[in-house]
Amino acid sequence: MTHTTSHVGHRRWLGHGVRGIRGPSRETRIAWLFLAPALLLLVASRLLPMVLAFIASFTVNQPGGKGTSFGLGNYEFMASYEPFFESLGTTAILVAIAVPLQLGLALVMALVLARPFRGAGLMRTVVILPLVVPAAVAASLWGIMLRPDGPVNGVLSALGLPRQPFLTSPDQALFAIIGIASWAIVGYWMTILIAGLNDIPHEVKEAAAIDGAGRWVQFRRITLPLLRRPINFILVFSTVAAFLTFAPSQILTKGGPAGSTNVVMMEVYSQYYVNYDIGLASAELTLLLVILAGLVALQFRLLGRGD
Amino acid sequence: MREAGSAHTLRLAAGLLMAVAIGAPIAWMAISSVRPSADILGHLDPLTIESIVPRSLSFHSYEALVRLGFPANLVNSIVATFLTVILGLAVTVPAAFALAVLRFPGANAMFALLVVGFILPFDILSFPLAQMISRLGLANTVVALVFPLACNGFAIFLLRQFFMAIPRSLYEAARVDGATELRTLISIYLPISKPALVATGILFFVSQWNAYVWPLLVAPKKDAQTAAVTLGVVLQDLYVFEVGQVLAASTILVLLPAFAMLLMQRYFVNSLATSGINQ
Repeated sequence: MTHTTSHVGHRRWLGHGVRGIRGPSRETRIAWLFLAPALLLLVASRLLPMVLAFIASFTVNQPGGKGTSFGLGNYEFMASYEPFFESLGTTAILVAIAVPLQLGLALVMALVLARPFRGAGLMRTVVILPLVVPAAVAASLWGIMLRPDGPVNGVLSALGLPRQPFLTSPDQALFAIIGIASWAIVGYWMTILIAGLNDIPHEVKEAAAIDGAGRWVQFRRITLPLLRRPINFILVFSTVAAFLTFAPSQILTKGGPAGSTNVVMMEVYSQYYVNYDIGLASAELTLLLVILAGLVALQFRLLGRGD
Repeated sequence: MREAGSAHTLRLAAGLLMAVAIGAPIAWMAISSVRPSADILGHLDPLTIESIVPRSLSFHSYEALVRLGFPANLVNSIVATFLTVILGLAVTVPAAFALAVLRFPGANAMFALLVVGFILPFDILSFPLAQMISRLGLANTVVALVFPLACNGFAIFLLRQFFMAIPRSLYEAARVDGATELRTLISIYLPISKPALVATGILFFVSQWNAYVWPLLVAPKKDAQTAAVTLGVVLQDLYVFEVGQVLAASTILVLLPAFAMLLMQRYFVNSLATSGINQ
């Protein structure tokens, strides 16, 4: 095959010709081969359950165990099923409080700890420690911390404040759960904001300081606008995380007392595993997926805008 | 610019307050886990030095956990987490390499599909998936625990970003020299990608170790449970609830990953410092 050998040498010299002759089709095949496991997992673990839930949401059990039929029965039932809408309302309150609370706290924490000072490194480490605290641990630990005879009430009464029922009160349980979820995650948001703060060029801040801008004006006009991307990221992901709050409710309150912590994840869980109403559960889940898909779409619009 | 004295004091005080608010519960948890049960909530009213400083140590809570079979659940968690990291990297590295380096029609659409698909919160899809897994008879297996968490939109995003920063001339040179795409990935890209691989590994580690909804639904049987589920279900049972055991299990579940992270963090910093291609 002397003919080919000389040809290869020629091709190598040309460089580009290598891909030109046998490149594209081979590279495409290899690319799909490399993508195959990820795509397989995407189909098996994300798309398939989505489709199954969608189908199940239209599958209605006939009364008297006479098999199933296809229709809107589950959705019709859901439309007048109050516990579901109550859980949506509870979740909306949770999201509406948790998101600004977490963003505000994370922003303050980032502004305090972004600067290097003696002890800042250690404080940053402590503050992000909850990142390795599993949700089940955060819930279990705070369940004990907030007991009527727990350490939080011990501190309250040492300060001369009245003891609180926290998780056992229908008025306080949801706020306790917001606190637990926020405690576990603000360090993560802070880390993202500190990375954003460190990306702000020093000259920009110095120029503003030389121009005589005060601290507040610097923050409002320079720091905040330049943090827009990390803030957008946090807004969307904290919304999604808050929307899907589950472990504290499931572990500590079972949705109670008096349904006050029956968030949507808890409601879907009960339909699947307590009432075994797969049809209703699937209809609820489909509606929640639509809401979440809207949130993710919003995320991409926000992240894609500007810069 | 140095801060004025008062501003610095304010910053220090605020930082200390945050560290205490976030760190104190974890410290209290760890200390209480080695106290006799009666002492844990027994010295809180009124608060004294004994509320935080144990007068006597006791490992009876840990011993009780051993009797309850908790170590087996811990092993389940460790095995599942280890496999998730390995499988996760094995799945996302080639995918990210294909998306960043190889040229093929539809690359951008594939990237969008994978990132959007895997960023969609999995917790909510856990329910129908767990039903399907049960019907297939795969509930309570390590395979079921691992596979949905072995791919991750952030991981693909992160790795792709890193691979794209590596000059494509390296890939082209290796190909011209006759190396296959797989060889190029393994021999050229992976050795200089340690920081990204470690960061991605940590992502998979945390996603499995911290998981609650998925293992709760798919591995409910006592001996197949992960430790987090044992903590959230078995140890919370009203009839067996023991403050000391809950805190001991919690401490183990936090210390193990904290220790692993500490080890990897050093590695992370080292690899950041030694690698990188600046020519």
